[in-house]
Amino acid sequence: MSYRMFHSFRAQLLFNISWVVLILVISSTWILFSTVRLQTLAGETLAGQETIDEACAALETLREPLLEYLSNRSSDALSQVLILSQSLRARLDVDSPIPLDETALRTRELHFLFHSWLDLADSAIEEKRGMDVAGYTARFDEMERIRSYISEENARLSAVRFANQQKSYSLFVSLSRNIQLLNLLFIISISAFSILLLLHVADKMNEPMANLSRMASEISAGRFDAEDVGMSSMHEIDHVVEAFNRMKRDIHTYIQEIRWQRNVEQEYMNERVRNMKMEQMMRRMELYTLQAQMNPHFLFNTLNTGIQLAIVEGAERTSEYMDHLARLFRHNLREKNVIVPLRHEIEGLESFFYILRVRFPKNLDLILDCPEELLDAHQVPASILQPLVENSVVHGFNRSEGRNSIIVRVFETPGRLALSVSDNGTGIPHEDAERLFVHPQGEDGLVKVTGLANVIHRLRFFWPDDPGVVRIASTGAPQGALPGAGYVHPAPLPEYPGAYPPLPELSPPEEGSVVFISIDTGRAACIPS
Amino acid sequence: MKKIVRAGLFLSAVCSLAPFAVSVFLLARLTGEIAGRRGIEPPAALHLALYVPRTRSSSLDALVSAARETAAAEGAALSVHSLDSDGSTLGMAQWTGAQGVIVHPDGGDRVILREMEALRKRGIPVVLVNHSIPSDLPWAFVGANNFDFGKKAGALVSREVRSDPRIVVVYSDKNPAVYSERELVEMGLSTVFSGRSAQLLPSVKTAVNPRDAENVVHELLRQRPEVNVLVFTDADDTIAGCQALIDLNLVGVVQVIGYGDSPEIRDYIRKGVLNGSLAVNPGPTGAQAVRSLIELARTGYTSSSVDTGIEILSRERTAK
Repeated sequence: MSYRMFHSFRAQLLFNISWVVLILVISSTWILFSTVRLQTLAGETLAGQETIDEACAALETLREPLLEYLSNRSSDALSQVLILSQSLRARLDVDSPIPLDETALRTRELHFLFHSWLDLADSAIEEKRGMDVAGYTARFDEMERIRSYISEENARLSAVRFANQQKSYSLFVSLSRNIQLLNLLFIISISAFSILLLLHVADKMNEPMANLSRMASEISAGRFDAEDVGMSSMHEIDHVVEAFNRMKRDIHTYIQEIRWQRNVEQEYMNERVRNMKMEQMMRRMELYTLQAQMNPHFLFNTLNTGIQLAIVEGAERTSEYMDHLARLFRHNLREKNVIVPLRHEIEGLESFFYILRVRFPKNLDLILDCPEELLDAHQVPASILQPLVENSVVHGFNRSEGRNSIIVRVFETPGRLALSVSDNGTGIPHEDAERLFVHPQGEDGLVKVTGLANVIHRLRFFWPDDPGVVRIASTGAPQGALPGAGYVHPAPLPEYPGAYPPLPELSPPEEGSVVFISIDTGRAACIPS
Repeated sequence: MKKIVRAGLFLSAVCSLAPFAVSVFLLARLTGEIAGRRGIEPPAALHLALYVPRTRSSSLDALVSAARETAAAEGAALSVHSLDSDGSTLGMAQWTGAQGVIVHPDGGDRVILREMEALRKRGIPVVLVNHSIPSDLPWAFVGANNFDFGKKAGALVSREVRSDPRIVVVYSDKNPAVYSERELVEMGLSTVFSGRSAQLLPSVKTAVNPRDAENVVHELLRQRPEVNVLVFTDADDTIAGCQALIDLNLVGVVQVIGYGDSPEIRDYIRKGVLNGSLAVNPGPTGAQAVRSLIELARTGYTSSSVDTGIEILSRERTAK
């Protein structure tokens, strides 16, 4: 309770103002004291002579009635003498300590002379009463000598005292002038100190309010992560600051929750849209498959009849060719799974290669480089290699001379399965590649199920947040650039999120193009067939 | 802004405290100075009074100064008064509350003796300095023995003048202690020259003027050319007399015994103008007088005579 009272705004204000007032009172008191003291000292420097002068005057006053009494024994004169004598004795200071200073000592001697004169006067009165004429006459003579000496000594002492007073006064004037100047300086400085102290106090009391105001501005600008406002030493302001800080933290937490909920909703909506697209695509693919399977039995029976006919006629090569063709059709038409074992994909590709070798026996080299141990170890989306090879054959080789080659490689990098289809053809123009990645769908929103676009679309569908799942490197120069300038698309490749291993580097080939597929094997295993 | 206010606070605090402290110091000093001038000091145990001749000389000033210092050191207050011819000043001593009186007579022995007896009747102790007064009663005395002064002067003369010294003593109002006991001085001189062909010629006397001796010596040597020894009894007279001898070109012809121990006198001795000098140091005399009076006031007893001695400054000693 006492802590709260002491640290209340009112107590602090009272305390600080009291300090300033106290300083001003003390300084004013000092100025008053020093002024009064200087006045007292000024009086003291000129004091001392008055007492002796008064005693001299009293002695002269006393002498008349004494002389009158000694002349005619007047009782009135005697009573006057006694009264004046008593009065004069009261003024004298003969019991004071003996001073070392000679002027003071001689003043003391004067007091003793007055006292002796009064004693002699008493003796003279007694002798007058006793009719001792010679006695009081001699006594009066002695008194007159003393009176005369007192007068001379007083004149000498006055001169000495005046000289001393002059010295004292000169010193007094000099020192008092300095004291007054210093006092003026003191009062100016202490006034400045008081004003600055008030400023300091006002600043100190205003600081938490200013901090609150600044924080309110930041909060209104939406910055809730700023540091809390610091506490002051005033209870009321601390209370407001604490409430303000609590309010800021609560609002911050509330907004964070709202944002999190909105993100969750957004993700949920995205997921729903993706599912809807996937369902739409699946339906379209099923439609195409159905269209392609309109009469598969008729096609396979026809091909089998052709194979048997070729065997009968002894055309073994034709028979083998038709056998591969039948396998390829079977592979393409009967496959209903989205994700298939790598072996399955490679077997289909081998049949396709056989057909291509028959078609282009002179100017097309087809190389398949796939280690045996990978075939059963991984799964890939169905029909992703054949369209790429077909794309190279259809679009990559429009030159008449030289040998064309297509190389399909399958290899493993840490955490990924890499599949590359490279050719030494004319490459893919940059604008086409751009369009493939930016607009995989046509302007009407329909999927163009043709070659490379189909593969890119499907791979990015399965791995929407992995931009490196499919990349193209080509010698195809952008418009206006030098021929032969290579590029990698998309480039630069954003960093893959999460804890997955880094993607392998891909460099543009010297000629032709490379379509590079890098499948996250862990995530591929999670895709349902 | 905060830093400026804080710096201003510090600066104004310093600027306030400094003049305040100096102002307090000056006021305390002023109070002390004025209090000191008004005699606010520890009180003295005794009130003593010193009565000295009205005519002041350097030796007398030195005596008074030494007496003041000794009184202050002994915790006694000392008032200094000048004697007058009728003794009225000394007569007031009994009424001033003084608890002891030191008298340095300047002649007028009877008047002084009367007042001293009045003081004794009132039980106030009295000490004489430099000059004793013939009296039936014993008075405490502090000072040089003037008979001894005469003897030492004679010894110096006999050492410097081998035959027929014709001596003139130059007394002075500036040193009444010697003048008032001139008989003792001359007796001392006579004692040294008894049985020898020396003549002690009539003495001369200078006034209080410090240059008076120059004229006196001029007149003396013109009127009495047989004089071949001068004995001075005052330091100012010694210096003025030497200057007269130099002017008259009689250095070495007239032998001079000086008085005092000032740098000029030592210089004259080294140059051979002076044959020697007799120095009575007044400081110890004043100090001893105060000590004797305090002893007398406190115990009622003290030495009846304290000889403060006479120092001979010869050429050999000055050369050292």
